[in-house]
Amino acid sequence: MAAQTSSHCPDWEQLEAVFSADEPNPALSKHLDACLSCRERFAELRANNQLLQDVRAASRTWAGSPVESDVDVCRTSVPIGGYELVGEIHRGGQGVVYKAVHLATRRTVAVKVLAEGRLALPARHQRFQREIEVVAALRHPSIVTVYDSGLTADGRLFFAMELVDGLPLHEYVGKTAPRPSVPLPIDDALPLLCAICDGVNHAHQRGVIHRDLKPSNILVDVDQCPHIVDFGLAKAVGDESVIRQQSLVTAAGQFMGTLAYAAPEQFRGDPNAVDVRTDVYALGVILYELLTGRLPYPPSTTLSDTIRAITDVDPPPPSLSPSASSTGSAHRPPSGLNDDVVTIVLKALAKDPQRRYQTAGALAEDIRRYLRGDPIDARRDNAWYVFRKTIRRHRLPAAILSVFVVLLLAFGVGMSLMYRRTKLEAEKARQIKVFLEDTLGSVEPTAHGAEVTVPQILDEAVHWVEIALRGQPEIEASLRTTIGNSYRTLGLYDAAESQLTLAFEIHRRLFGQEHPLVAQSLNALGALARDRGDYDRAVDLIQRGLAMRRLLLGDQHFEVSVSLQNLASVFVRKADFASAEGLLRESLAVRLRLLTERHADIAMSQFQLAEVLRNGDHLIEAEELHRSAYQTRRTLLHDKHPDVERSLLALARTLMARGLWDEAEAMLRECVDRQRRTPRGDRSRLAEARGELGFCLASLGCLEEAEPLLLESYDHWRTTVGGENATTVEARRRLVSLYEQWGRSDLADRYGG
Amino acid sequence: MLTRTTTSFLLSAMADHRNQDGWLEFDSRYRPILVAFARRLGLGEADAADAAQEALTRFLTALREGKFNRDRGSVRSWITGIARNCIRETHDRRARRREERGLSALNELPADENLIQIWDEECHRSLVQHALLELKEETHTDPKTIRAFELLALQGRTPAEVSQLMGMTRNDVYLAKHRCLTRLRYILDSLQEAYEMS
Repeated sequence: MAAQTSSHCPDWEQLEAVFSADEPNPALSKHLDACLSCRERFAELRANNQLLQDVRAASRTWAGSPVESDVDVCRTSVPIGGYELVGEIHRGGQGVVYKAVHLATRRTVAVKVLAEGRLALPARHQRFQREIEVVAALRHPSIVTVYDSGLTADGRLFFAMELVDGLPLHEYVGKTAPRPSVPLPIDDALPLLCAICDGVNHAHQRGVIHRDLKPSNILVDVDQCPHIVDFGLAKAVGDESVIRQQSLVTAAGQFMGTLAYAAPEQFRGDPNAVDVRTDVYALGVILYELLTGRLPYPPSTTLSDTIRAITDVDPPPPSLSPSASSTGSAHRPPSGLNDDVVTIVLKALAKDPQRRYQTAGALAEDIRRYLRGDPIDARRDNAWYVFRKTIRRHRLPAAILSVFVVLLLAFGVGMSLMYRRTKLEAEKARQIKVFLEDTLGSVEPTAHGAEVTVPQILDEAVHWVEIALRGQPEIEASLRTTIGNSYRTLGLYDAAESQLTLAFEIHRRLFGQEHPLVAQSLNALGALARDRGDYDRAVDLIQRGLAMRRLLLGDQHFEVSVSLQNLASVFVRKADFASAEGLLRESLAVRLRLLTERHADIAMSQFQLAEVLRNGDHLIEAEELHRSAYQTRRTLLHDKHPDVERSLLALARTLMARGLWDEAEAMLRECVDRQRRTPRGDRSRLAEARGELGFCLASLGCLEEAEPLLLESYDHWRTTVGGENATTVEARRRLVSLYEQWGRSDLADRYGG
Repeated sequence: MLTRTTTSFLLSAMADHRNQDGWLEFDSRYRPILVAFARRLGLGEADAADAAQEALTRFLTALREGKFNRDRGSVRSWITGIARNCIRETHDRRARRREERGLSALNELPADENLIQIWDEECHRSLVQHALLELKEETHTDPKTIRAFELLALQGRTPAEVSQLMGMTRNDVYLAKHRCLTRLRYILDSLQEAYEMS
């Protein structure tokens, strides 16, 4: 053989030419096959050229310009029988992937070669061999097809696979997203993940678990089709010998998977705990990341902390980051993720595999249900949810829908509590369901059309309660409480008083003087008295409810924290901030002991405490608490939830107090816009937002624009709560001040007198 | 030139308040990496220098308070954790300043899962830079060889240009390149051993 090859050893220039040549040099290749010394020189040259890239990168400074490369070190001529290697695609932990041409078929393929040749450990070889066997058995558009496998000339394992012209998922997202770190639009992310799930499901059905799913193992081609690669950790389900060897954290502490995508069970050291649902978890992490641009558990300072987070801490519900919300999908509200999507993601990320989707196919199917507008499976156990979803699917008029949603919200809390209680409670829940259906059915869309209002629906509800619930006083009281609270939040105080009083009387009749439900009624009546501005009565009622709850439930009970908060809110209205602050701190402390940190009720406590601090001129702390509460609410609640707007309004007030008028003005305009967009919404809240915007504009000197806002606000308070109410007085003071500023003494006198 | 003292030995030396040399060596090893790391995570030059200073101070304090336990994690995970917190705090401070001016306060910190990878890249880059310096400083490589290597590898000249500039044959130019790179690999290996990276 040697006689047929070049008899002289090539010099360095000639060896370099092998790297840079477009065409392989058959004579040199043959010489290399025959000459050990040249093979060693060639190996050295290859290692040197690899280092050269690093040296060039290191020699660039931050301000400096890159040095142009005149040698393509990716070129290689590692001999592999039947293939011509034309470039290096990727260098990873397991091996190097080359672009190559299969000489017999001229097909361009990707060839993966074990990186460290003879130095590789036997375990690594076994893993590689298994990878080849496993992937070759799979045929699916979302899985990279394997064509061939074998040994290179120097005894290294390789396999040839479909060459995907695409980018790893993380790079694809980086290029597709409007800016780096901004996630994919939801309308792109969900179908993409479905296609990935389909591929994984195909593998699962053939007994193959990937075990190392992550964005860098998923290539996305120009048609946005994903292709899963690197089944390096895959194993056949039930293959005991493999299972024993493949515990994620091996005895040597070598971490084979990638931490962020590893499921909790992968840390338990029980190889049998790893099954198809481990991949479902990784898909959940990928989905979370696609939607939010963040990982559910960002790597912490230490490995053990990160593992602890994955195994013990609930992930924060996915939400769009502020940067994403401004560039989100054109088809959906950009500021928050739909509840269904959040539910799907959290179900895929459940710590207990039993609570996860049981297959990747089930995850894909639920996403498709969501995309079709059908009820998702993850919430099948919630009848109310399914009912609402069905109605939406049938496209009822928007007015009816909004009414329905309001009612659902009003009942939501009570319902969830009831489900946990006894059979009687279940019956109660069923009654309420019938009540909702009947009430909705009784509102004829054609008869009322767009004029259907929430008060009308509530009036229908009262009528229904009176007719249908005779002889079922407990359910009647429960519904009257809900309806009364709804009237109260709508500013319809007389109607609210009548419903809440009836509920209180029923509770007293049924349960006597001291009972949690009696306390609940006292609290509700107290809140109503507070909203009417009758603070003494409010304090009396709520304190009685609080004392009853402390006695019956103990100090460390959530209901106690509710009473504390309500009581504090009265003191706030009375401007007794010192009393309020003490109560709120106790309430917040109780909640922090009972709830997780990111919880709507914690946000409520922070909100109220911030309000008190704002009034006490502790503006920096107030602003911090408000921003925190606002963020939590934006994350946890849907975009139109009134608490989101309350937070926005309060934050704007804090900013005004700090003299940051411009930012406050923008927020207040958003508040007013939100209220205007809510048909027949809470008029008191609209009046409040308008009053604040008017005040802000007046302070900025925009008197003409401020006047109608302050006037409308004052009129609202005067007619709803009366001229002597503190809110009305304040609204009038602001109006008078505006006129004085304007030089309109006639008008100032008229309202001032 | 960096010593070949291992990181483990440096840490034990630094735990002693009187040992300044250990600390200086550690500082010259890790400060450039910390600065580059902070810059990769979006900080400007001055902020990155401050964050690196803060991270080193906290590292030393924690070390001397006995808070670092090798069994619980590597030096790398520990120092990246500290650095990440310092960088995040700088980002947050800047965001608050922006907010106070009524500007957008978006945090531009890249995804956390890349932190270790970014750290490793910067660590490697720093070692290569040290290795390049050592190559230039050491006496047993001919300055002409090093110059040819710099022209070819770092300044992007073609072999023909270097050959002409230096009065060497083209093969000698390639030979110079490979001598330097082989030497660099050797230096790099010994540095990695000292850093306990391998």
